[in-house]
Amino acid sequence: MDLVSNLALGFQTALSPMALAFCLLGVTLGTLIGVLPGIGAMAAIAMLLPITYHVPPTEALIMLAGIYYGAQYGGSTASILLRLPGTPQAAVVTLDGYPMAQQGRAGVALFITTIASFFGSVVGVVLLAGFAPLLARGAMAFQAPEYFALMVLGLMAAALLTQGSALRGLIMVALGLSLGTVGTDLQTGTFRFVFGMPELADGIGLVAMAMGLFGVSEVIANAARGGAPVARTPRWREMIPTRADWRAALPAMGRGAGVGAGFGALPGTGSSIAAFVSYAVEKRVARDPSRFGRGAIQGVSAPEAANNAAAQTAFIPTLTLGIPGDAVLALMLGALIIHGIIPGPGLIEAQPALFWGLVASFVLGNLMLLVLNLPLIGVWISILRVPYRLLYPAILVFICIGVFSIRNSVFDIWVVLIFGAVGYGMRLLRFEPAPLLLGFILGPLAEQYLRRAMTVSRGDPMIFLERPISAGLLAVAALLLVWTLASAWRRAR
Amino acid sequence: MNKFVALAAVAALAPTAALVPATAQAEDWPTRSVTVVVGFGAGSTPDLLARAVAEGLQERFGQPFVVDNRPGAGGNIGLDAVAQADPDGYTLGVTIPGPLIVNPMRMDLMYDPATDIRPVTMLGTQPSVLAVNADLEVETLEELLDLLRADPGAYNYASIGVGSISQLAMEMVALASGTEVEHIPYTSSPEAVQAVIGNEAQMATMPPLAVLSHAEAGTLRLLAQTSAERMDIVADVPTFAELGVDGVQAEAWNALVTTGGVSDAVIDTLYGALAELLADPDMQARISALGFQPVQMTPAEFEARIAEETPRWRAVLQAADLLNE
Amino acid sequence: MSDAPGRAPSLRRRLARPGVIGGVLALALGLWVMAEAAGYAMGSARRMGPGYFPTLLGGWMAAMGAALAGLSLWREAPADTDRADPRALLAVLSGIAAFALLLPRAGLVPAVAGLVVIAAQGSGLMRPGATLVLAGVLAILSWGIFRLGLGLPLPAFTGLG
Repeated sequence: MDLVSNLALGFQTALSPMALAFCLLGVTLGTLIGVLPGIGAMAAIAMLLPITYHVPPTEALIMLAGIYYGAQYGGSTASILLRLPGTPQAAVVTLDGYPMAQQGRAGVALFITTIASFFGSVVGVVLLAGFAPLLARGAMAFQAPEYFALMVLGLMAAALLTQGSALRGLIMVALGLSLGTVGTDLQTGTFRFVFGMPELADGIGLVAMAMGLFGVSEVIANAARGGAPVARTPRWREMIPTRADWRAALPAMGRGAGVGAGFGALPGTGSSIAAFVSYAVEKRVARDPSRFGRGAIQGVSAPEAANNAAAQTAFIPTLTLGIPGDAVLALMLGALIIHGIIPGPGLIEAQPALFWGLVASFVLGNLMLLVLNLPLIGVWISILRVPYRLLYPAILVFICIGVFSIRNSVFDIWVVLIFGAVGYGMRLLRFEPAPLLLGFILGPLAEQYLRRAMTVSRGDPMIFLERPISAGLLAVAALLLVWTLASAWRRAR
Repeated sequence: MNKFVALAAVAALAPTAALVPATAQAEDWPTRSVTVVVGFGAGSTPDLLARAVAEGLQERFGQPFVVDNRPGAGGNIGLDAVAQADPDGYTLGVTIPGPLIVNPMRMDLMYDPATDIRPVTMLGTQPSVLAVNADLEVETLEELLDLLRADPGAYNYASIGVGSISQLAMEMVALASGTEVEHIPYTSSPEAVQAVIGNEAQMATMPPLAVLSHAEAGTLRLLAQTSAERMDIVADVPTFAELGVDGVQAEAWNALVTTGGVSDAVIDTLYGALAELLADPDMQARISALGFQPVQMTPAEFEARIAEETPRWRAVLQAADLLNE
Repeated sequence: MSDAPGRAPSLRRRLARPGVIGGVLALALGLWVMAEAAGYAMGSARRMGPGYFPTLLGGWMAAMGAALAGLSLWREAPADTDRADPRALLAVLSGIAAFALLLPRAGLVPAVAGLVVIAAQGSGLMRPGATLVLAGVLAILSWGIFRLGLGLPLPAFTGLG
């Protein structure tokens, strides 16, 4: 079989000392970047762009890829410990990870996310190696109507299956979608809700908003709490999940990885929806859904596995379609083009050593991440031993500098301030910010896909029901809505 | 790692440093680090080009040339930063035609390019290529235009955004051939190309790099290029003029500019170094790798070029109902 | 927030419920979004204008807000809610504002110090000496990490040449 010889070629490439060194550099940087929310991509890019000029493309790509999936590992750390998510995926992990940390189970949560990350990545790599062409073809079946239907499903999952009442979730999604419309309308160039501020022409900054809604509001709520969140560093044994933890977490990882790998192959949007949908799936299949939001381990392991599986399969659209999912992937494309390699449908065949070397480096890189991250858990947890009155000013400093560094913009710090106040108000009124964040991410996309689909159909909404995939997705979303409202009604009576 | 690169850069720079021409004016610009503002994110084509040029200028002047990414609003935010800077030549900008020519006619901006920006030189240019889905039953531009005229408004074209060269070039085609095509904007060239391949739209005018690999794979057909003369990267694709369609000329160039009011002495020093740099075969190879045709253009020629392009864009904006009056 | 058992809660207590306040706010915000969106072109279903989608969203938000307010007025599930902490709110937000004002004018070190000194007042547990030490340590640390380590364009002090 071809796969064997391809993988042999890949490992031959990836096991060269230089490739190994760049892989290690990449995953280490990625872990650090993931842990510091906001600082992330831009700092890495500024540091690494010059290097990519001078390094052969395969090694450059291995390093940049390492940063990308390494950051996925690290991304959950600040979410679990301090409720500081830098991405919507990480926001899902805060739902149960942060309560776990509050209960003194931060070690277990971090341990499980590390294992789930590894597991999800391996599933993603296997699918990438075995079925890349198939996944790429499957993604091609998705056009505007399918993407719109997928987003409706993702939004319903976020609104209905996170904490709180369904109505509150739906309000948060609508608010997020509305915030997402701020900026330049892509279809006509009209400014919406910009109010004369050029900084808003491209919309509200995601990280600035997330840091305000989650991080700053959490700081305000806890500022008066003087002591340390955790009394002492837990011993190693207490960080290792119990047998009951494993029994709950492992099947959830499997489901999460499956969900994530499928969504990841869809360019651009896959991984954030994947995390929410996998969380929703867990809540659906759980025997006791009420435990979610209060430190259910499935609520941590499934989205984390989904997220990392998606991070691996996301390389399919990036390399074969040239559509990057985020800034780091965009930089990878830039690095390829610098070296005269054009991403496109022929890339895998034209550059077998590059593609398979990259795949093999994923395996090695994920092993490195596992070895790197498990011992780090103890280090991260010791952060929680710092008394909160000393810790929270430091958190604010990191938030402000991190947000500023994204596009060197003071305006974004004011955005943090405003959303800190909004987030605190929401907290007092018992609204959850996570569905808002997904609505915000998907809002502009959902609108684009809706309008595109309607232009293609020349104004006929039946296009969403005539196409089987979109009709199916919308049917599932409708079922979810009816089912949730019905059970809420029953409970209320 | 950084240290290694720095060393390598120093090693590469050492021989040239001694050769910095002493011909420059009495003006001793630059005596400190120069900022090169790019209105697009790191890794974008203008950014990669800016970094290549900044590296070259840094070697020639022995002062740091630091790239500062100010992405947003189609490059307007970056050019605005150049416009607001002190006119001392320590702030340069790399821009595309949008913020410099097209956008000021489309919307109210904080800057007026005529007074707040001083053009220096074009760094490289590229045509747009009209690509159609290979399943569309047309082999030539003539056949495509016949198809469009037979059924105006029945077909869609994809672009990389409202007001982009990609959209305006297609509107030029529609205007010049007297037909109508429905516009569907996307946010990036790969997305737009994907839409054409997936038949959500049937055609698009795109940068060559975005379509070449798909043309090779047989999923797209390239019908014509929008430059006045054939460019090397798509040498086998005819121009619109060759095919008898006049009035379609759209190039998505990248250019170096600075703040309005910067002294002639600084411009002369800067352009002197740039002219040398852009004539250097290594630099030309780097520019070509990004899909651009290297060009040589004095500040005066570049200003004349802007003046020549402006009415052409105005006419297209008017026809596409995008003009802000 | 729990209502006394057995007796119907007074209207005032009902109106102060988080669901009622939140629902009314969502209703108002939704209506405002619709009003604002009315200023943008609506377009047609085939060619939706920039006002189409926000109008739908505003309507959705207003309807859900009205429903939430109504339902919560009728009954609300008891849950523990945080008590508002105006001191912390004011201190943290002022600290961030100080950072935003000082960073471009004075540089990284004063901005971090200002943020820390002001925000630290939020806990009411910090002595002045400890606050200054914390501010100094964090200012130096962030300069080391972000300026030296990551090379971000954040000069320690600006305006000094």
